[in-house]
Amino acid sequence: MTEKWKLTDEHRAQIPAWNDRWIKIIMSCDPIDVDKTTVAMRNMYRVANLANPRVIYAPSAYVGLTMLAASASVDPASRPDTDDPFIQAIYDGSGNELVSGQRWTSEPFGNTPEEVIDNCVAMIKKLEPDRNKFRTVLSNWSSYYNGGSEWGSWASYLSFVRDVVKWTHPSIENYSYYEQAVLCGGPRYMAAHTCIICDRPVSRRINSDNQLHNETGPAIEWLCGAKVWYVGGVKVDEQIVMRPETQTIKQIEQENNSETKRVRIDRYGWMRYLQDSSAKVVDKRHNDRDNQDEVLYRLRDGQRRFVCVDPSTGRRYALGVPREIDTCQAAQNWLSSGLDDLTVHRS
Amino acid sequence: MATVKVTKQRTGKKVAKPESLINDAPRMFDDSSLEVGTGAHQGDMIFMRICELPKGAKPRQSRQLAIGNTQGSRHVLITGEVYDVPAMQFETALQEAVSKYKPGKRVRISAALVGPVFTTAGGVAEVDHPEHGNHVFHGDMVIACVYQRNLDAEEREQRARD
Repeated sequence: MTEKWKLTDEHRAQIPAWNDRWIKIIMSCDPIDVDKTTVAMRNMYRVANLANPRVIYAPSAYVGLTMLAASASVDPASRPDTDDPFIQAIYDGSGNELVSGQRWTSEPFGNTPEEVIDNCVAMIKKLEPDRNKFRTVLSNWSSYYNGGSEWGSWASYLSFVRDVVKWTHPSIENYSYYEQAVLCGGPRYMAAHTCIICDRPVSRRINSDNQLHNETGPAIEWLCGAKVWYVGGVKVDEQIVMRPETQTIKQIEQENNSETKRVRIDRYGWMRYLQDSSAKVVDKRHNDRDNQDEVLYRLRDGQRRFVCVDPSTGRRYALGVPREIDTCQAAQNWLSSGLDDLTVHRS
Repeated sequence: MATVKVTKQRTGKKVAKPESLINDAPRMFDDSSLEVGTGAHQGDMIFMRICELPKGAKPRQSRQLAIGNTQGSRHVLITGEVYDVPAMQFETALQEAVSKYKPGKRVRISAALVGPVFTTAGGVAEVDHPEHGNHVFHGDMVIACVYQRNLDAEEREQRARD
């Protein structure tokens, strides 16, 4: 019988160092260890009473997804005579020939995740896959997916209880295979007979809060050529990072996500935005409760934007309010469904 | 921790710009600081104190009070009990509380802005957030969560998301 475990002060004292160690694992851009990951996956299939899977290496989770869909939908007898590693991997699982630390080098598949997937799909279509099976796997990708090292937060909890708290349980041996796939591997797709193990990104840029962040280039780049762009943890596009001054007022105003809009305007420059959008000040005040300045603007098309600052984060927001709003207090009240004048605090 | 960033004006005199006064310290509320019918903002969420748990309240699994996977949506109840309440009952309970504090004030909350309701357990409820100060409620309290709204670029009302 396994006893319940309790967290002591001694255990708690080890949490900060444990966190640091696991954040490094989660953020790792080291090449995956193909051999060790393959062994871990085969063991996981074994303890789940599943047949030994074909394990295929992919240079990224985007390429890996299309490989999974292809391997489930192409006719093995129709294998074309080619030395293209992508096609070989689909038919033969030739990724297994990689040795630890080696990365698949090939021409980039595209510059964005969408482009990579589109280009891979175009190549696979030439193999005449069963289109229904192919689409079904693609659209249900999340049911096959595990983030591997990127989902290391789960393993960090379980391993802490085993290694620091010293809790024992019969399931710990089986868990060790999962942990191994986190420590040595990246994202993966697991189907009944095929397991696609995907390489980690080649670079990942973060800020001091561990948020994806790069103001001078992509925040993540993969071997397949895909890149994504983030500022302060907010997903944006290349233009916002590399050429923010080329954004148009229309682009900014049509942005529906308030975080992305905030980043767009921050990158464009607030004063420039208000000037370029011909905004007029309708009302301004100092909000004593929040200790922040607030300004209500009327934009060129008559829309109203209420500019306020979050007192906790210091971030400035331009929130849309109805055209009939003509004071800052009325704006705050409208945003809060009439509750603002009943609230005693904001943080 | 409350911090103040100080900037220098052209005169050379150091002044604190109002918008740079950052306050992300935890905030405690008790009977005297949060009466029934009053509330507090935590980012894009408003916590309103109501009289009692509505009858149709059902316990819910998720302790995250706002839907989503962005950092801004991580208002997480780390102490206390959380419930889902039908929108009509939610609005009625909120109206009752607001009328008690400010007789005659009408409250209309569209269903899309109705959040969960939580209660203190063992005298405490605490809502954690990675960026905004934690809100800690002491005593016997029932809190209704209302989402902030705004207009999108096409002037359609939507729940504010940060």
